[in-house]
Amino acid sequence: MSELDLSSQPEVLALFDGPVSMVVGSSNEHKRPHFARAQGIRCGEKTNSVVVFIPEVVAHSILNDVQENNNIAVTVGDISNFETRQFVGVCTHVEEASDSDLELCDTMLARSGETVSMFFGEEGGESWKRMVTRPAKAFHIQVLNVYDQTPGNRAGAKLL
Amino acid sequence: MITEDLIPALQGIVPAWIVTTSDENIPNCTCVSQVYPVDETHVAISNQFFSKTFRNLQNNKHAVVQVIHPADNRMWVLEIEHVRTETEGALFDEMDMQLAAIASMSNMEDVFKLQSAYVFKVHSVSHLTEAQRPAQSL
Amino acid sequence: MSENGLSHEIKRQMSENQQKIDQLNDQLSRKTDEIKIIQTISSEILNTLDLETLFDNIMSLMHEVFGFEHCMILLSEDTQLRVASSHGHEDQGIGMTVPMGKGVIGTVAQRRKIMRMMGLRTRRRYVQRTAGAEADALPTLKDADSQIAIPLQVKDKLVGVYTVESEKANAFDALDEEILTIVSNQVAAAIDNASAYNQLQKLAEANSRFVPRQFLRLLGKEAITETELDDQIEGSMTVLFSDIRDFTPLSESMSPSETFAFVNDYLGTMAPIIREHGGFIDKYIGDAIMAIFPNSPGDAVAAGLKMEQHLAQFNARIAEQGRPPIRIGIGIHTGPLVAGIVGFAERLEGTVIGDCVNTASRLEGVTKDLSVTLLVSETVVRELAEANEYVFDSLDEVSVKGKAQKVQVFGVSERP
Repeated sequence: MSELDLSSQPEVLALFDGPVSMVVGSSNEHKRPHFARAQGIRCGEKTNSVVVFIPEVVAHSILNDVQENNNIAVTVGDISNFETRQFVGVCTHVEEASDSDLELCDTMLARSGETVSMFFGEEGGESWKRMVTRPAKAFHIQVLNVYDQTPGNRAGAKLL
Repeated sequence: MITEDLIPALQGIVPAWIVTTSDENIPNCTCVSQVYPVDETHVAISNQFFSKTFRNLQNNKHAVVQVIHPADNRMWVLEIEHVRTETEGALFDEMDMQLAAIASMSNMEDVFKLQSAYVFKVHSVSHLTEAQRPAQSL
Repeated sequence: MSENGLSHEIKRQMSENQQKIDQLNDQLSRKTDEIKIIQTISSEILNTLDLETLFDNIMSLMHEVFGFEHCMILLSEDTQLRVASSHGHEDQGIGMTVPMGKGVIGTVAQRRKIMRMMGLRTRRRYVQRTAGAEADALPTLKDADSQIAIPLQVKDKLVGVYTVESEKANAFDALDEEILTIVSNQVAAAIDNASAYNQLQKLAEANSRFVPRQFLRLLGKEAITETELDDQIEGSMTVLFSDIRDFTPLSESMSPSETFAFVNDYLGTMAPIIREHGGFIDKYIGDAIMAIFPNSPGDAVAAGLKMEQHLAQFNARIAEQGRPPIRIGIGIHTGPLVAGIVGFAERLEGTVIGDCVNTASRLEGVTKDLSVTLLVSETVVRELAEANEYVFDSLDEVSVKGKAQKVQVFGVSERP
């Protein structure tokens, strides 16, 4: 199987620069799913990898799950237009997020917070920005498939 | 289990997230427009496009949803289990009616059709207080 | 059980009891509130039959008592709803329509069920994004983010929809829904009553164009619905007959629709004069007018002279359209008349019967021979209280069919 190149379709990665909401789904060995909100995402070292940053305060279930079952799903949705992508793959390793990665998280939260303010008012934006970003774990993911997850009848269409 | 302060998060104001798992134990994480309150121990979601979420639920009834309070973005994660699917009755009608009301504004009532209402038993509700810093007092 | 355990058990029991009491109190206070709501609505709202006032009452009550600031009432028509009243909207939107089954309001009307919808803006964006289609323009509060809409029904009939909106995303809860559910039946009944009354009034108004109100009053009736065959009254009244002279050749130069327009234009000029002078039109016969003046012959004479004056203005107007002037004849006679309802049960008509009608008609016919516009009978001159205001010119004696004695006729002009 040839390795996936995430940059082969520009719209897949363009989302990372927008005001996004990022969520992660995992599942333990008993097939019980778990959820956590991530605060940052960037491309990884390889063309088929991404790194997702989950604040430690909410990361425990996902951390447990990937020990037992390394399948993982990351969904990134643009708050302003609901454009959404799901990255499904395997978690290769987890490490502490670096300072520069944490800065990326803060930048992304500030950006999405602005958009939340626009749609849900100043108060909504402020409380959004109060989400904890650090410390965080960096989940390295080898992406196997990318799906268009934008709500509608095309949701779930495979892009890569 | 579903308390009064959770209700605003179940009004479809901020879309929710649901995670399900396939037979091969691959998680699937998607957006749902609304998690409907049914009673104190049950919620429902609408199945409009028979997507992977609903295919997964055929095999594995366990899922988690995350809902958000529209005013202050307080977040809750609910562990839920699919217990029945409704294609008629009061709950179905109510969900169908809401969908029709919005879809018809864009003449999309034929596309956005409720296929069925998936009803879930709620096993746990966790308020993710740790995920958010408290508001600074003035 | 230890003493400690016992006291713990008692505490638990007490707290449980207190919870039950609170619950009961809560239920009780809700019931009381419900009754209060119903009482307020009944006395404040239901006591008017005027639709406009009713709408105003409902809107202010909803705002002041329940805090619903932005409201609309839409009335149902066949396949749509029409905004009849709005409160707290920048753009009133009155008259805008919503097709059945469209949007929150249309869906509520179609399904006959209350709907409480939160986060409208996000939901609309969500569907628009997926549909790639803009939403149609529907009457709504600008930037509405929450809405409750409730069908207004009387038994199985949909009267309309009442809707409350807010710019806030999460403005309404189950209690608001309950309040509206309690209120809506009464509001629907009140609107239905007032609409029915309004309809009835319109019907009466339409009827009065066919059977004049003065005619009914003459018979001692308030509404046409009270009249019966054989209702009648006798008395001395004045009849005024008028006609356009040589109308047949004139109308031959016009298309039928032109003729219609012309006649209506003419009648529109003349008819109000009759009403202004206390008379009413008994009937139109083509371009001819038959009017009754129940009070005094003076009213009829004044009206006849006024018609003469207005004819000059009418002629000046049609001259601008390139038409030749018309001439009319007016005959006035006073005498005993019977006004009543004639016909048979299925087709009734109010009319006047008597020799007096024939004489007035005959006088009108004679105006042409005598080259005058207005002729009155000697009876009119005799009975005229204001005789000294006019100059009478005895012109001829004419015979009237069925009458042995000839009738002396007079030309009339105002005393200079």
